[in-house]
Amino acid sequence: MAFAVHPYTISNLIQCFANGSAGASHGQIGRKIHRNYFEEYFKELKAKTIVVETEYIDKDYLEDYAAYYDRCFRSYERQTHRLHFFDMAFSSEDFDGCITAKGGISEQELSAAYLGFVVVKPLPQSIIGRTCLRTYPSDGGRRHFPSLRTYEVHLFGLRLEVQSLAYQEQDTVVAACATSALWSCFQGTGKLFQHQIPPPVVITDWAAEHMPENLVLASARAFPNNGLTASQMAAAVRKLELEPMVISTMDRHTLNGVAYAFLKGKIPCVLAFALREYEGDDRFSFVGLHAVAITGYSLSDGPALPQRTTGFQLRAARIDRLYAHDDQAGPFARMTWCSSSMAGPSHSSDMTMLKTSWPGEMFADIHNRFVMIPLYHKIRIPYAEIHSAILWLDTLIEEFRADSDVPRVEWDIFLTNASDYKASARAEYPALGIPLHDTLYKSLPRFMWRVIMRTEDEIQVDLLFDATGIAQHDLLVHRASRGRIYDLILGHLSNAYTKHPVEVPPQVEAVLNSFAGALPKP
Amino acid sequence: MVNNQLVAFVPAQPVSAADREAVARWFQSEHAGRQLAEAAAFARGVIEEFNRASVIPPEELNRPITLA
Repeated sequence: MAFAVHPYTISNLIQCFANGSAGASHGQIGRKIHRNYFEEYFKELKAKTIVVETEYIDKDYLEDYAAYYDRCFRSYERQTHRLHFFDMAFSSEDFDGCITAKGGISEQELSAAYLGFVVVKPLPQSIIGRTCLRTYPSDGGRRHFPSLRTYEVHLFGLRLEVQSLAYQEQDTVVAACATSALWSCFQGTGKLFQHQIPPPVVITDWAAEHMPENLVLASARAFPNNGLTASQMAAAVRKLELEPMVISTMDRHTLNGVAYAFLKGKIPCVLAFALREYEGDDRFSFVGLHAVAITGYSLSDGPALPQRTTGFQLRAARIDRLYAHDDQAGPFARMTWCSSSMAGPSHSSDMTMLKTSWPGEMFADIHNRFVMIPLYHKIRIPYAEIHSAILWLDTLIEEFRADSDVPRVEWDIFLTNASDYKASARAEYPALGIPLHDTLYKSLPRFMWRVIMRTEDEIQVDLLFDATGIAQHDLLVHRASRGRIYDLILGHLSNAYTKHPVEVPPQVEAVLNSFAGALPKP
Repeated sequence: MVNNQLVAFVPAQPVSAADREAVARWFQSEHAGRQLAEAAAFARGVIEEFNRASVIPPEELNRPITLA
């Protein structure tokens, strides 16, 4: 029989993993971190049934197999098992009836109940292959996974779909954690920027073409792979004709800002961090360096969190947890911001520790680490350029606002493209009384940095900066606003800037110039 | 001069006369220019500090990312 149907239980899932592996026992699988993770995840997704496809050829595994496993002395299988999950209970006969159109459950019911799949690699330990699962529910709009894409699944002639971003566990042979994280990112950028999506073995091979700077610390050997350096990861990104943008993660404010800005632009990024274990008495031990793909975030609806030194309020600062494809834990694994000291909280914008989904007290320390974002080469203006300009503008505005009753702005900075921006304007502007004509018929660059000024969750001013231009130039290509208090403030600020010129970055000057003469005549 | 090519703008301005006057009074005051210059200097300092803090030591970047 080419398939088997089991009611979903964690024990059945472990047995399915064991059956698809190269001799791993139920006990060995049960001790993997993934076991606990999947138990919680499938509980949240309300999984009821597992369908095992027993003769599945997975392209990514096949490439890894051809490059490495096929040449081992011991024989490994070419074919994999693929486990499909449904939130509906049905029997083997029901499923067979649906496939062969003999009655039972309908194709529509099966399609609606589909939660996604996990490929089980026929290997001894690292068995979680390509995994595409539905995300956690949005929980009232709190959880966001903007970089998902649609995966078509063909199962015995049935066409199913799942919105996801593929995940897989690294095997330390053809892939390291950084390889898996890059592979997941490429799943998103491949669709967005129309590039091929290489299998893990090819990513590792590309990375290894760049010799590590320190051959004592990092092995020069590509396979088996013991970990990639930042420059090796960048080399692999370059092979796809993408540009690796590397940004230092100093604290919560910077990581949230960067992850949010690119995820809203549908681009996942790789986060590298130090994994630390809490040992009690405010002491953490260093476990190693790890990399994950950031795939989503949770925005709290509490008050905006100000940056410590300036009070600058970034919408991204509301992120209280990130979701990551952690090859050692699972897909869309929670990473929750927390204080680095168990004794008491530090200022929220200064936090550097995220509690991971690993069992026990395991933390991701992001201080002095980095995110790497694979970008289309025409996205040239870095996030920091826009962030700095807006922080500067906010500081100027604050000189007046702090003495007034005007609510402080919350700034929303993210990457967008012309069509997404116009679709968003069509949906949002009419209710705000902003005419659409000037926006929709405007010729705009393909990629833009969108900066929304909000007070009390309402758009006041919308600024669009060309992300493909030259940083020394005026990049402001469009502005939409409601003609309220912030238009007035920026109009007066523009006049004051003309009267008392001070040195400001080009993009602050561009915004102020756009408000020149905007004040109504007395 | 307003760049009309740049702006999608609502002509009606629902801002009270008192608010208009308060904003105008502050920006036309003698101290506005000085305060804005101080704010610009402060912003420059913050950005410079951001830039300094964002440098990753090369030896950290050259370490392989591995849990082993």
